[in-house]
Amino acid sequence: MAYSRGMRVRSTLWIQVSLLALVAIACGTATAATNPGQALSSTPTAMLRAPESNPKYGGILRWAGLADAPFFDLHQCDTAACATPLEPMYDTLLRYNPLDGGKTVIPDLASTWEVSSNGLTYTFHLRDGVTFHDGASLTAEDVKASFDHIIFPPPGILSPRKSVFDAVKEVKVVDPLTVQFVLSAPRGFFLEAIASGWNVIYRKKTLEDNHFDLKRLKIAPGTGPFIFDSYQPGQVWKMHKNPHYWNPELPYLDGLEMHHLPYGPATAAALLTGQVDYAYGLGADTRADVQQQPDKFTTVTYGIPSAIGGYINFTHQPLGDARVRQAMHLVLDRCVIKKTAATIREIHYGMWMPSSDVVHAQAYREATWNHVPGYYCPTRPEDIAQAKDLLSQAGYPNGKGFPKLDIMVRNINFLVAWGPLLQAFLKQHLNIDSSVRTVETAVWSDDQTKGNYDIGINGSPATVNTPAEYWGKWYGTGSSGNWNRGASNPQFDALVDQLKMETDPQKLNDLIQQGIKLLDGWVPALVFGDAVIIDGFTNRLKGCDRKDRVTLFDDNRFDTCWLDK
Amino acid sequence: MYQYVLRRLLYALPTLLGITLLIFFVLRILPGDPLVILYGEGGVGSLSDADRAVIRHQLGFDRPLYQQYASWLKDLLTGNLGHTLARGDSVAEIILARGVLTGEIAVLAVLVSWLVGLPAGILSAMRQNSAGDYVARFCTIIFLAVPGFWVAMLVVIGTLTAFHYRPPLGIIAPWDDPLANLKIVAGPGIVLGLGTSAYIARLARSTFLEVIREDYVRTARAKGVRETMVVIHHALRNAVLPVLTISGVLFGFLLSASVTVEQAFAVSGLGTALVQAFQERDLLVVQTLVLLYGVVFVVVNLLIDLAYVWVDPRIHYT
Repeated sequence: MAYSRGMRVRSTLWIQVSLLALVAIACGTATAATNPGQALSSTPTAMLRAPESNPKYGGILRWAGLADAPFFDLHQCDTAACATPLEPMYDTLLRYNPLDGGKTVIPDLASTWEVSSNGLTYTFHLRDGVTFHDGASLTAEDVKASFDHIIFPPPGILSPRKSVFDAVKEVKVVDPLTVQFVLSAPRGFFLEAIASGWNVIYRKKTLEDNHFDLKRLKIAPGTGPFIFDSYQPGQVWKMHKNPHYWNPELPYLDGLEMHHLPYGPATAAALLTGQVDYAYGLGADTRADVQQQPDKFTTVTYGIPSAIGGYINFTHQPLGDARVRQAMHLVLDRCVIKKTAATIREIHYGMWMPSSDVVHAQAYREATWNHVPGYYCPTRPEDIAQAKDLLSQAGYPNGKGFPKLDIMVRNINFLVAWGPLLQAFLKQHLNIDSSVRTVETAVWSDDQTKGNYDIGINGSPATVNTPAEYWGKWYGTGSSGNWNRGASNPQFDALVDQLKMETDPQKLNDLIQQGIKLLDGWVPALVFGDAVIIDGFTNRLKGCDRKDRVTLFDDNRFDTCWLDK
Repeated sequence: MYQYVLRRLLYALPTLLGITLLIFFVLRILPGDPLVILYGEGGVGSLSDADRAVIRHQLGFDRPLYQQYASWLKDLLTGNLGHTLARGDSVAEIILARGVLTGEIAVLAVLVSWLVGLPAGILSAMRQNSAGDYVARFCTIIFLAVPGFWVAMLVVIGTLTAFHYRPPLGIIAPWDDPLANLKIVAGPGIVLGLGTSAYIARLARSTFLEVIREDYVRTARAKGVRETMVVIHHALRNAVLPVLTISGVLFGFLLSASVTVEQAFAVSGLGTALVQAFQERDLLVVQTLVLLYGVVFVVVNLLIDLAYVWVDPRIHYT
């Protein structure tokens, strides 16, 4: 399916922009995006419900996967282990539509919204009568406090995704049910960013009472479809249905049981033995076992915006030399990389744009794979020759005099295989010696921060599936997700800034092409692949078919799911 | 007797103090930043040096090590085991919830090791150099050579593929659902027990071979006592003392071996908690659990020593 999370924006702002553009073109004026001159507004939509005509109420959905949340503050957390068990208890201002795999943005706590003609003011109108689980009413003050927590966190509070809202100047309360975001510059993906599942709405009082740090608070009251019952550390979360949920149709389930099990065979075993109804992250090796019983189970596979690969320490010479990095980029055999991890984890071939961003990336990926040096499968001799030539130009003919590299690998099963693989590519084709050390996450992060590595193998997700966001995060100067120490390219940063502001699809595409050329020459990282998640669930589970899902962190509410008894 | 117990407990104090010193300072020199679990990989990278300094101060990580150590000891002596670094879960509650499973696994493993190892060792000794002896010795060598976690993985995969069986999820206490609890601990207990039974069998065989050549055994046989009675009443009691001793040591090994076997069976015992805490560099949890293992080791060995009195009335402690 040629969809991506990027389409969410099109479904809301951009579709409307396009319609306005058509009108504008018909009138012989400039496009709406470049000279909009008109405000945009959403139209009220029907309440969300299961797609089936006869959903049944009742039953407990037993889910297994990563649920060992390191703490309880979704605004501060950045792992799926937080997102999955916590999101069912909360709502967001807008949300990704769970019925189309998260490809469109639909209303949530905000029933309607308007965008000013200059794209600098977003006004959201809240539903009336929404209550938190502790009985308090939802007001615009709660929305403001929640987004202030994300965008302008107080000292000591981290907000891993605040850069997505870098253009927000102020969040204003217009009246008790209206909240306004004032931007300093337009952002083409703003509604998409707002709808991210991480941006749940907490009570202002809860935030203030806990000095804006909810990491250890079990559990901050939300407005979501499920209410917290109990939690066993590292084991299980139990929730029951919110009988006062603002959407009277939802949820269908009486409750959720979310069991923490490590990624891979453990979740598959729990599904196959009937202990759970839904298994997150089956693992490539166990998917076939589940697929052998199509009368009982369904499997779904979906990509997430992520960059997995070798993060380069530019401050360690000669890795600061673009020719050296280009040479390394050219000798990677991405088919072998994919195959090496295949029994443990499925990945998509590593390119500058992840496969999950189908709207922006699909054409690029099709044009690049097996057409551009560095992306041939297997690696072509002429590309290897070019790599050797580049290394020679950098002063290291046949690798002579090249310092021994320290390849640091984060200790995760599928990553571990890639350390020796990269080592082999570098030695075989470029005669570069290296040592591989596999380290725990805490060590990887510590050494990366201190610069104690040459190439660090790890993976980093992005919040929004658009190059303006993920390129900025992975390769932008000073970004928290740019683990390529010392990597800074002012030209690329300027391009990312332009991308963030651009709303015209053609101009956006032109900028993306420029970005790809810049990245091909600069090579800030050695991208091995982007992550793919494989889920399996019982065929009794209806209403939340996650086929063609394009998100991981954003649609974990299970409110439209129901169990067919 | 009481004086002996008191004296042994006093002797244990320096041992336990040594464990606290060792684990506390070793953890402090290991690489790895505990802030990663608090702020995530992306988050911790965006912390400025000033931010880090503030957070470290708030967590008390910037205090001199001797002060941190003294503070931990003080908390231990006052019964305060503290909380996990990120979520703030009570360490005492974690130990209570998970310790039951790990304790059951260890006890079950010792039982299995005795039930399998002791008869195998005795039969092996009684039928020295027979086919049965060779089979028993071969099996013990196999069990000694094969790591427990590997056997555990085979058992998990085998039961899943052959019987579509997997032990229940989560932590289930024996008083809540005895059968479900037994299903959780049976796999790791039996796997660990079989591995340990190899040590028991080999030791039982060698000690039994010595004992049955003693004069009092020969005398018993000469008096016409039945062979079964000779074995049970005369030889076994004397042969079992070294086995008891090694069982105490093995119990300690079982606790450490359970770390990997629990992982393989996905049992949420203390071993799993220890691995996770170590990966997260949750130093307080790691050092508390290691100390707990040390305490259990010391207490079990004391109990084994006291059991000598029951097994061999000739032994008296004063």
